[in-house]
Amino acid sequence: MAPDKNIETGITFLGQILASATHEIKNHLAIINENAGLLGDLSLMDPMALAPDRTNGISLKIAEQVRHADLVLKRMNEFSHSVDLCDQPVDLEQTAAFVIKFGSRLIKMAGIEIKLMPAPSPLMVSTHLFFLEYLIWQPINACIDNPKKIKQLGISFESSSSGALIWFSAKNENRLLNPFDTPKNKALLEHLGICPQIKNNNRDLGLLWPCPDE
Amino acid sequence: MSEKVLLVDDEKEFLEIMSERMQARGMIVTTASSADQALAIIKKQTFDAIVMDFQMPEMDGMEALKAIKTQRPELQIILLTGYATVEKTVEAMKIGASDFLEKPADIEALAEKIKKAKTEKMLIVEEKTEQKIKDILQRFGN
Repeated sequence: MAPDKNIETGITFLGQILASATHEIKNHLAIINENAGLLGDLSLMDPMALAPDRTNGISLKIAEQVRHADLVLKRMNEFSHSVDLCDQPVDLEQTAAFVIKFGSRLIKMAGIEIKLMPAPSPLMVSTHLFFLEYLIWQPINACIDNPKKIKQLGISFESSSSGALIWFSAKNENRLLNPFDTPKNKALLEHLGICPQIKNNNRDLGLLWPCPDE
Repeated sequence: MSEKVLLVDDEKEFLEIMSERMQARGMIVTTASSADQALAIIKKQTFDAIVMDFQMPEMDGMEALKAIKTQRPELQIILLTGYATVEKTVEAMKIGASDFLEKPADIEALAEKIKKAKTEKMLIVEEKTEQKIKDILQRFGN
């Protein structure tokens, strides 16, 4: 795969995820702004309404919103640093959990439920973390693009003699549109040495990291 | 006279505090936590303005805007948004949004926009009433 195609794929993903995260932070800031405004209103209009329990309640709400916004910023920072990690051993389940948490706003907006099934044992694969996050996001994004059809997506893990696997399964009658079947994604999978898998009459899409000796 | 406002946002805490602050400024506020809920409310009640978050789960701002304008074309809708792109703003204005405000919003700026929306709505209603009277008079041959 030409390096410029990798960059193009990465930038599009980065843009989508960061735009969502910044929106999430804006929402927390809006609530902090309203709480601060409410304190101002109460002190100007009705100082008697500024009872200690009310003031304390508002200050707790502000602290809670700051905590939420800080969590989003921490995830943004962790996500940004995933670009640095090339050919490093990474935990598949932990990475999937991170992608789901980070994309939770977009998932919630589309009204989709993601069920992450725990791996039987930790599954470590050696890969580029940023592109692994990108690949895990693709089936989720396919559901977001089509929320009327796919309401629930299951993510599970498997360790077999062929290697480590992650499965994405649509939980209703509709089939998941295969996001790995595009020229860009096919080239990326080939570049990373990952084999796309299909089973259960196209209902389950998988990614296989073959064992090094195969 | 007080402005009657429907405030729509999926963030319950934002809805509660904003509603309290708007009421403190003399507005009569009804809240809805989804576009579907807002659509059900406007079937039964009338408002001077709707203040609505642009991005909400299930039905987004653009879809909600279209549905409200189809149901009640005279309603003035002020959209609250995190980040508005020029394309989205133009599209929303074409569909019928009367104004935009970026989050975190300044309550005084919002109150001004609501007052302006009320005046615009009253003009539309007056024009419609005038037209109706003209139609009736024409039917009676005047």
